[in-house]
Amino acid sequence: MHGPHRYTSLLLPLLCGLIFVGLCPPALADADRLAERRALVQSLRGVSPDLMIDDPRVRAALLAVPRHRFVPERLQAQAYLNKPLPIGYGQTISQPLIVALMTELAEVAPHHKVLEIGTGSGYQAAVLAELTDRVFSIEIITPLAHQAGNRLEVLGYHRIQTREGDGYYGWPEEAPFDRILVTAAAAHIPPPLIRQLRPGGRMVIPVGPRWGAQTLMLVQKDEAGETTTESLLPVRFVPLTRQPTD
Amino acid sequence: MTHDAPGSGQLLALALVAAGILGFEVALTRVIAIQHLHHLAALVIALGLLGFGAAGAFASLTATAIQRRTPAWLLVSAAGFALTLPLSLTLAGHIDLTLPALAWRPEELAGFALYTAGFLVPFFLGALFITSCFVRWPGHIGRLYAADLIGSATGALAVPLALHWLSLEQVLTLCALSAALAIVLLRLPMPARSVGAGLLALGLAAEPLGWVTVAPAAYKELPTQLATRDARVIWQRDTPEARLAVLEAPGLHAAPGQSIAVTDEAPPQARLFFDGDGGTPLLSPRAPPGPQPGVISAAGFRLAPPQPSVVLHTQGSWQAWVAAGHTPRKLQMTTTNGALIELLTGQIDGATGPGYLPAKAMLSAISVRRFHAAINGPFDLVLLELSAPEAGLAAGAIRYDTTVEAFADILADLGHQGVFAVVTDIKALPRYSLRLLATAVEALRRSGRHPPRHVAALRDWRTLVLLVSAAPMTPAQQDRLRAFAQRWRFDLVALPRLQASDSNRFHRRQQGELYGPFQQILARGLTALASQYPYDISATTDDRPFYHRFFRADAVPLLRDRFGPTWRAHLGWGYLLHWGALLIGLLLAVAAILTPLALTHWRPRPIDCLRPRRLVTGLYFSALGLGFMFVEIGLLQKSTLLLDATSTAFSVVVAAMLVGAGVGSYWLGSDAMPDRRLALWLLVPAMLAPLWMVLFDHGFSLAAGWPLPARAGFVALAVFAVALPMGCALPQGMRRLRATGSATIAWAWGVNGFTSVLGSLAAVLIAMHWGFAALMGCASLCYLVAAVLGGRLSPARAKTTNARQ
Repeated sequence: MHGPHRYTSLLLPLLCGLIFVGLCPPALADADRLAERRALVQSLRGVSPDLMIDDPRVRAALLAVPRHRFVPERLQAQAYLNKPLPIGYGQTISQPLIVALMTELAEVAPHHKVLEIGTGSGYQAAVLAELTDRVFSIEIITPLAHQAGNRLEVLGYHRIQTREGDGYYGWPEEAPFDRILVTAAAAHIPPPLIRQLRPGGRMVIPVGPRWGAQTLMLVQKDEAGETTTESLLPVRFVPLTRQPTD
Repeated sequence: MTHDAPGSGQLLALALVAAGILGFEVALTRVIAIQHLHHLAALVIALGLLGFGAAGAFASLTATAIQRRTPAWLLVSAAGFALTLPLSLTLAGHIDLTLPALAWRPEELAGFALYTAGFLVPFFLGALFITSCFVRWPGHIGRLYAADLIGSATGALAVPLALHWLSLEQVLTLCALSAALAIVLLRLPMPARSVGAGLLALGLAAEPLGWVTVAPAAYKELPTQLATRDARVIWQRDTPEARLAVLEAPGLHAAPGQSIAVTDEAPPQARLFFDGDGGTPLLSPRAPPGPQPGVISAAGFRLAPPQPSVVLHTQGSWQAWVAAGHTPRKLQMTTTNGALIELLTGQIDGATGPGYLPAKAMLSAISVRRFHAAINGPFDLVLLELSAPEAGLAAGAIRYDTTVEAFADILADLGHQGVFAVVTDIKALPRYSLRLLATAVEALRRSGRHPPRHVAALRDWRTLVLLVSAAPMTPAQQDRLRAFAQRWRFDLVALPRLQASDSNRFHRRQQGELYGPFQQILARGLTALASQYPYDISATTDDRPFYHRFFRADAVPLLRDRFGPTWRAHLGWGYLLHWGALLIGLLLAVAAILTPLALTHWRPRPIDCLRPRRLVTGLYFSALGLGFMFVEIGLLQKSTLLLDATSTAFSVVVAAMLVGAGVGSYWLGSDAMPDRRLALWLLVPAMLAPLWMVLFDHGFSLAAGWPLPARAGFVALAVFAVALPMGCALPQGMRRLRATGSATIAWAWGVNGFTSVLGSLAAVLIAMHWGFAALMGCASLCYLVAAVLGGRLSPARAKTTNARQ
């Protein structure tokens, strides 16, 4: 092949390559998908002046945890959309906004002992583990418990203690806890969990349908051991459409 | 198949296919309820039934081919129905659809459309069989239509009855088998009959091999719970109203309404599911729970006298055990599901077990309304526990136990110190609780009472109990309620002389606080609040019993202001889906009705003989389709009051409608009838339809205590009387079109099919907005229009008209 034809023959592979790069999922372009995660975290603001995601530690934790590693393979393209995704067995990995708000509301300090009820994919536990070294998580659905345990191990979250079990009874051997996060709403607040919450502690529970608008509820136990609840604003349906302004 | 008239074999085959189609329609309500949500069953089926209209439109284009090769058309359509019925179920079971996520996942709409479209195919093929019969024997439409209607009536009656003994899967298989049997009976050539025999064998093998399965979608509560450790279903039963399932699992700990101050763990329990959802705890006398004083529904016992006579209108056994802890003198419970009574009382499958109720409880098979109409009190405490479905998908469902009339009946049954307690969920922005309050206020006012002195309410973070007393609440009663609320950390929402500072203390709500709206409604009625509230929270009545419908189009901006980006989740999607289905149906109907007319230019035997009366023909058969469904839906919904369950009402009303119309078709439709006489016959339903609404209202108080056969007979007789003259309208109309050819008959059948579907969708919307009386007014109008137009269909009349012009 001589003359201009030599360049023409190069043009086709080059064009194909460009198309491939253009079409390939960002995961291939950026294995850790940090850019997507950054965009997602920057877009998460809150739902009202009283309920903003403005704790830099929470933002850093969300930025550090690769959500796509907790999402089923077939839903990889949606891993950084602000919406819940099915993970099997009728369960979901929570919407990032809800994870962020629950973490923000929990006000987790580095010395806190935190109990999570409903490990699910393990994503919320991983976010909590970025804030404290003492995270305990229970999952009642056997396959999910095993999958999440393995996943957290592979990702290096060795400090998270997980177990398969009935979250209703909490984790009495490790009680009391400073913070409890319940990721599946119950018909009533389990008395064992209230008992295992340290006076001055906070419990965060999403209330409402798994697939609908959920209201976050904050349960607080005062120093006298009396408990009150506070239902905050409904959350969900915040599409990732606006670019951050800052 | 050479006879000019259809033989008994053909008529029986037609009746069998019709029975299979209607049986499938009825069974499909159960399929949709189990797989997804029962509120959507009517919607999905209405869209599926568009297959009827499509079959008519299709047959109008292929009438010549049908006439030329009728046996092949009958074979293919019947065999197609028998095969696509299980296939559509398999497809529906495999569609990944999460309906509750409809508000935020637009792709769910595509899944929903696919789910619905799958059911369209068997309906299309079944209807094509019937239409082919009409096209083949146009001179015998009266007999054919009668066979069609009586077969359909048999299907409507047989399926709910069969569900008392057979599983849903077995019933669905029988529906497919009826079409296979029809092929055998058709006197077709041997190869074709062997197809029928093969299908019969296949069908008989299908059920034992589990080829037809109906299971809840993964997002429903039962599959989710089944995924937990050591969970298993220990009992399951299909009934006409619901598939009941009892789950045992170590991870079940429900205690609905239990106070945050309770330190005891939830008692050991199983859980009862209705159609794979709505789990409610079942507590066993083998491990009887202790007293449950810290449950919010126990508030009613603080107002009632000691050792009260209690009536519980609840599902499951939780509230019965709560009541049992308060040593009632008498504990009466009601349910409309016979299988549930067997389960709760321990009489399962002929064996006697401990059941799930405390020893003192007595359970009766009766609806709330009939109980209070037929059995007089006085009672000290009546408790009604209500569910509050999410996403407003239940907008089209009716309830007669939450209407103003129901509250008035219950209040009339209370003793002097009696209390009516209603337990419901609280939503992010309250709606059910406010509607219930508005209903109570209206019922109290109608009985001459001053509402603020009779109403109290308290809540926790997710449950509210509304208390309505027969007599003004005494200071002692108020003190007891205050002490109860304080002890168990419940927030008072309403009580005489309650201050704002006494409310919203233990369970604070940033948005949707209830104290303010409750005070407004109690003090000034609903008018002041209604205009500024994002939902329609007005009281429901027996004429408009749509308890779950809250949508207000003019209040959408208010909803957006209130919820910002989450506003779509709080819309009434069920209501909007009804409108969406109506619009889709309308578009499809217009396209399918107009297509055969447009294609007449290209065809050798056009429907142009229809042209002079095209509009008249279309309007006549549209009026019949709409009118028939308006009457049927109106009577069906209204008779639910007397027949307790929608499934029973459906069977009785639809069967009586079809038999009545079938007899009318045979008796009045087989021979030619003068125009004037036809008009007179059509005036009968026009007059009777509104009258029957009055009859049902007054008949309820008279017949409420009758046994089921007598009540069903009363309803069936009334429905039969109105349906009989309706039955002559279609065959007489088609008889007048006979001279214009089979294609026109098929086209008119298609118009009637499409407008029937549109009528069933429009009927619900009309009733939602203006009530059943208005719906029957619309039905009257339709039959008046048909009476006027009936005489203009015949060619002689058209020729006369043209000559005059």
